[in-house]
Amino acid sequence: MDSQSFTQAVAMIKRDFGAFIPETVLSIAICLLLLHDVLVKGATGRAAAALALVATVIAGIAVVHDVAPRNEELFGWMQDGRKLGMIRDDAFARFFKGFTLLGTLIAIPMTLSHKALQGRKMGEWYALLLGAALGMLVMASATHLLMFFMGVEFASMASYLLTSYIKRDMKGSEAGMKYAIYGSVASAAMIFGMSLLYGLCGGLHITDLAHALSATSTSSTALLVAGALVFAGFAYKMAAFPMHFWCPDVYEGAPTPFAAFLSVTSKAAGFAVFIRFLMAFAPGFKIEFGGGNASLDWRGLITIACVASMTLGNLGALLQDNVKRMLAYSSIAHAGYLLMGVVVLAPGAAPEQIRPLLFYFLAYMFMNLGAFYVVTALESREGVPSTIRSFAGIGRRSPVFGICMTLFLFSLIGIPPTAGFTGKWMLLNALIRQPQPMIWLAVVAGLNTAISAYYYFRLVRAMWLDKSSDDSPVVFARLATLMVVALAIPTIWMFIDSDRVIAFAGHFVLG
Amino acid sequence: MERPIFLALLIVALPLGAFAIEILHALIFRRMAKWNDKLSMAAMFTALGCALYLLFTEVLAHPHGIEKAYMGSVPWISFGGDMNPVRIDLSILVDNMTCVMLVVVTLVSSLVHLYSSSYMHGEERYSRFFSYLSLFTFSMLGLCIANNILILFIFWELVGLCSYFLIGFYIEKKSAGDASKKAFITNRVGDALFMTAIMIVFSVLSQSKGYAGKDVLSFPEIYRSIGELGSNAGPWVGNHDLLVIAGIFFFMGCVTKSAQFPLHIWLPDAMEGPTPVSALIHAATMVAAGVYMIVRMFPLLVGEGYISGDWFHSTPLEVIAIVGGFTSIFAGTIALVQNDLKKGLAYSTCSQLGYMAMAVGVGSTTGGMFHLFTHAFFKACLFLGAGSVIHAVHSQMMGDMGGLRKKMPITYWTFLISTLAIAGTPLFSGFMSKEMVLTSALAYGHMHEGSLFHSLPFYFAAITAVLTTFYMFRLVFLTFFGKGAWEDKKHGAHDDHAHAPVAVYAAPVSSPGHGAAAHGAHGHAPAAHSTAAAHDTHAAHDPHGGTPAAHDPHAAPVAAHGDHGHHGEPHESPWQMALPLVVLAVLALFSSGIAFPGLPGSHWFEHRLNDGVLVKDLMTESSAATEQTRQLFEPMVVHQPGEPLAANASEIVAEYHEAWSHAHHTVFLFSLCAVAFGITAAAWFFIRKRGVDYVTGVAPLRGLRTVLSNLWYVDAFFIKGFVPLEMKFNNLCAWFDRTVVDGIVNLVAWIANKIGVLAGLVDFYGVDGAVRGTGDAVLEGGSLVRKLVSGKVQDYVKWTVVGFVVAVAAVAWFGH
Repeated sequence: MDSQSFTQAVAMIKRDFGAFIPETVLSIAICLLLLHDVLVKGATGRAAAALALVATVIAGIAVVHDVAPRNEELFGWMQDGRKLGMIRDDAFARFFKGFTLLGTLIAIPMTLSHKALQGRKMGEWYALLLGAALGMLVMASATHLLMFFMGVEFASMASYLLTSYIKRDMKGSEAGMKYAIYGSVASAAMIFGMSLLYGLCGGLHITDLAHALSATSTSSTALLVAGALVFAGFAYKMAAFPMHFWCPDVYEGAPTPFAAFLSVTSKAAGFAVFIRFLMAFAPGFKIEFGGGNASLDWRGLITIACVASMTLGNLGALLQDNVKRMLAYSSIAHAGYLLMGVVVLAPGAAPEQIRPLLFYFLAYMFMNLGAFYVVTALESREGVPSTIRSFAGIGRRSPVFGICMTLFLFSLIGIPPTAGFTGKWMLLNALIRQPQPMIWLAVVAGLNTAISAYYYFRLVRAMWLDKSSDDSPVVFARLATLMVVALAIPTIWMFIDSDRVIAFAGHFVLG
Repeated sequence: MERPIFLALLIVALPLGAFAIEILHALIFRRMAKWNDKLSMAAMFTALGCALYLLFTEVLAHPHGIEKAYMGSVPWISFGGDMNPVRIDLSILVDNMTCVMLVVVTLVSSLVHLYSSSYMHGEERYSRFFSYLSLFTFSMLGLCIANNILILFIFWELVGLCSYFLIGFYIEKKSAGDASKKAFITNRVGDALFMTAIMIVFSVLSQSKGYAGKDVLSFPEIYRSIGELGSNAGPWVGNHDLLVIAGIFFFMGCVTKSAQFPLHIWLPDAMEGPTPVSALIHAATMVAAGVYMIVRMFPLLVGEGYISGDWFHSTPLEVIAIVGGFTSIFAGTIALVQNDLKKGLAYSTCSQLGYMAMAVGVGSTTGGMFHLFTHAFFKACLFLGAGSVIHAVHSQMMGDMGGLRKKMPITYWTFLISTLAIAGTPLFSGFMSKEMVLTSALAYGHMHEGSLFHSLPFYFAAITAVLTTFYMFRLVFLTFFGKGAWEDKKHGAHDDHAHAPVAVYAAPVSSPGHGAAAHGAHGHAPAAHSTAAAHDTHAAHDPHGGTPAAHDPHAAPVAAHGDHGHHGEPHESPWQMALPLVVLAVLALFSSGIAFPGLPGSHWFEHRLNDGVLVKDLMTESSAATEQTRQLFEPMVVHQPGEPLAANASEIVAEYHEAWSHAHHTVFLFSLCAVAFGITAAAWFFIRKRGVDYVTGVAPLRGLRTVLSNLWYVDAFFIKGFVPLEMKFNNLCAWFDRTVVDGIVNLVAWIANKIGVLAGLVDFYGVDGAVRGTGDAVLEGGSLVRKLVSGKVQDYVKWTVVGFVVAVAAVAWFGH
């Protein structure tokens, strides 16, 4: 390499680095947290939490500090007059980066509210948490199959460790083990699919894929198998059918704050990476490639995953007594609802079609984290895993928690006046407003909502109508109360002022 | 802001304000305020005053009421981008129908508030009860003033929620909890379809050019879109299928909310709630919301028929007519054998709701709304009267009643007046509305040259009219006439009470999981009924200081009363309960105006609330089909015989008009006969031959009785049909797992094993140690995993593979 091109390359990397600050901040924070654990004697969780919090906030500021995204790929090379790279800085990526960081920001106080994690060395915990977040940031912006895999693996590895963080907790260890085994199957499927794709296309950059496929003749079956195998990896992250089986055990066994984190951010990152893959692999869902000799019906695959996820999730949740398990199944069902938002990104769809999905994600973050926060607070108080019984009478004994939880559950069902209602409304609406409306899918989703009302209402009923053995008022920690209320406000606000949120979501179309 | 709009908002805000204050108080002081009842009542009566003022100044003061609907709106959500903007507004509508609904809701609600202040007195959650009532009333009023189908839907969900809370009000009763859940879940089915219908309308309208940036879900815009069909323009052209689907789905919302067959199953169970709630929510207001909704959406249900004038060929309306008619006769037959007073009234409500839906289906929104209006008063009166009786005898079973006429004169007379009204006796309000419904149904049949399918609604309705009179008087006679079970109690005669007074019908019930206990024909002592039945009275209710003995399963139901000097005799209820009965009874007589043609005030309802006034000013505003629509409406609005027909009426209208005039006389005579026959028959069986069992001796009748007692097996169908289906499915899955999946896995393992053996043989000398070492490691690891995960994670992966293969195969199969 001559010196000129070397200088050029260095200059490019320097310039690109400006868009890589969030990731860098997190990396530095991870190192500091690990050092903190080793160097500071008698380190408490609070200092580490503060450090993690500051790092997350700085990273968040870095995500939004320059208003306009660059809309270009970073750390790359020139090819056919275009700059291609490993990751991409665009509005879409920024949404999911911000989303992940916000989720992390909520998970940190939740950790502080969790009793089982108190009085331990927590630097490692926060380091792993930020590590998982880092992996998700990479997933949100990756444009190269290698980076896809790296991001997914990075986030997964940290997740396995966080799941079994409490050493002597049998459930946690078991869950971590299961998670790791299941995750390796998913990763294996994914990397196998990617290798097939590489064989079919001769490139790993996502723009290469479509390009190569249009030029060469490939068999449809090979393409279907490859594509479906890669989808397995994404579905694993989204907790969607057919890769959802890990979900209940892991949510039940993992420390609740992490389960909450996992249910929201990990799912979002999975969706981000999947949508980007879809859009580049099959631009605008163009199903026919090249001369039409090879095609892959992505839409069919996603529709099947969508219907199966919501149905299996809701049916599974029906009879759960353990609240975390129930929320896990509910999270699978929500992956199904969210996939409706992907189904509508059909050929010829306007870029705004992504808005329902983004809106629903925002709603989902507040309502689901809110519900998990209540579970955490209750679990920490009682010292035992939350069952539906343990919610008996909470509405009377702690009205603030009762009302907020009811609100979160209503939102999860999709009953007005909550963000969940507006979100579902927008998803169904997008589904029906397509050039070819999918009314049957909307009906299936509606019926699923009806099923889901059953199990969410079991909890509502327990909180307000069931008798509890002791009727004394329950006082929760101030931090928990504050956070739960803080999460309840957007859950309502997004319904009332949905207009503004929808407009906000409209800024983040895929650039 | 125009005054009617302001008043309507005020009416809605009053109960909401009461509820908000009560909740705030509860949150701050951590307990419900003592003065909840007074606050709620004050708010309700103020709202009633406003509603009456609105009715008298706006509707009754003018010959056609409000000619041009008042509307007001505030922008709420807008989205869809610049290319295709859509908007949803918070908008309200005040027209004749709204005013009437506001009066009905506030009137019944305030009377129920007053009634409850005595009936629920001493109840543990007395204060909370009033908060719920306020919340419910607010939601119901909001539903009535909504000018947007989405807003209506939001309130629709809210009333459902309040109903859920109030049905399950007696939380210590498991049956109440089950009933509330059943009601909620059943309603979700209809709500999902209702929502889909809204979505369809939204999608079609918002993509149309003329509707960009409009509040497409508001009623005026929906009507306008239908109006445009008249000139073969607008968004629905080419979307006829969607129009029909949307219409049917809207009706499905009504099917669950208004308890139409086959999703009526929740309404009888909802009687687990306190009786005032049954009167307010499950008789007068909420269950009628479904009918109200389809009346509002009537133009859409008719579709293009609205313009061509031939609305008799609209698929959704045909469905509504037949389902409504069937519901009325179906529920009417079940009501024949109910021995629980409230259940009997519940099935009667179901039946009358069927009437209303049928009226809409045969094209007479006026008839539907009219019956809704009169029914609200007499049915609320019946329920409150039933509550009064239950209050006195501490049982819901009619076997424990009888002979109460002398003891409870006010209750008896009001109950009798309301029964005459519901039976359709001339001079009573029910007569006028029911006659309108029946006449419309008969004319509808005529319009189709007596085609059987289109005549069925009338036949159903006609038979129901006879049934109604019969079973309603059965209730009256069994409750108020004859010798009371409580009279026997005075003499301590527990055992010789071998024949329950209802023995004519009583039959054992085998319906699984259903609480409608028609009790045995073998003469239980009435005391047993009071425990078997889910009665909602407690000693704690008793303002006269009854003792907890009333809870004792072996105590006679009236024994508790003996403690306060009445020696076990039921007695009239206090004035808070008697006054609402009297007011409602007066309304049951006069609410439809003075029933003599020619006198001022007669037919006021038809003049002001027919479908012409309902949508005329809205739909014709901008429609290209203004003239056509006007032609259709003008002559149809009031079906009064003898009035000259407008010269420009279309042919179909003229024909209909004529059919209507003919039908009118037939129906009038028929009604008289039905009432006379029903009363006579009921009197013969239940006064003259009281206690004689005619049925058991005749095999076909016995069989019929069993079928009816088991509610035509509909509930059993849902329980036996669907629940086991799910279980079977689970078994199937398990079988599939055991045989097919395990089989495949075993086969693969076997093959792998054989290959391994082969490979092992081949490489025996070379890599034997390595192979064996790896194999052992895998086995060790496997057993470790198995121990750790209790053998589950394999299942997960296995199922993942199965799901994956299925998904890929489906895509490969259907995708190309």
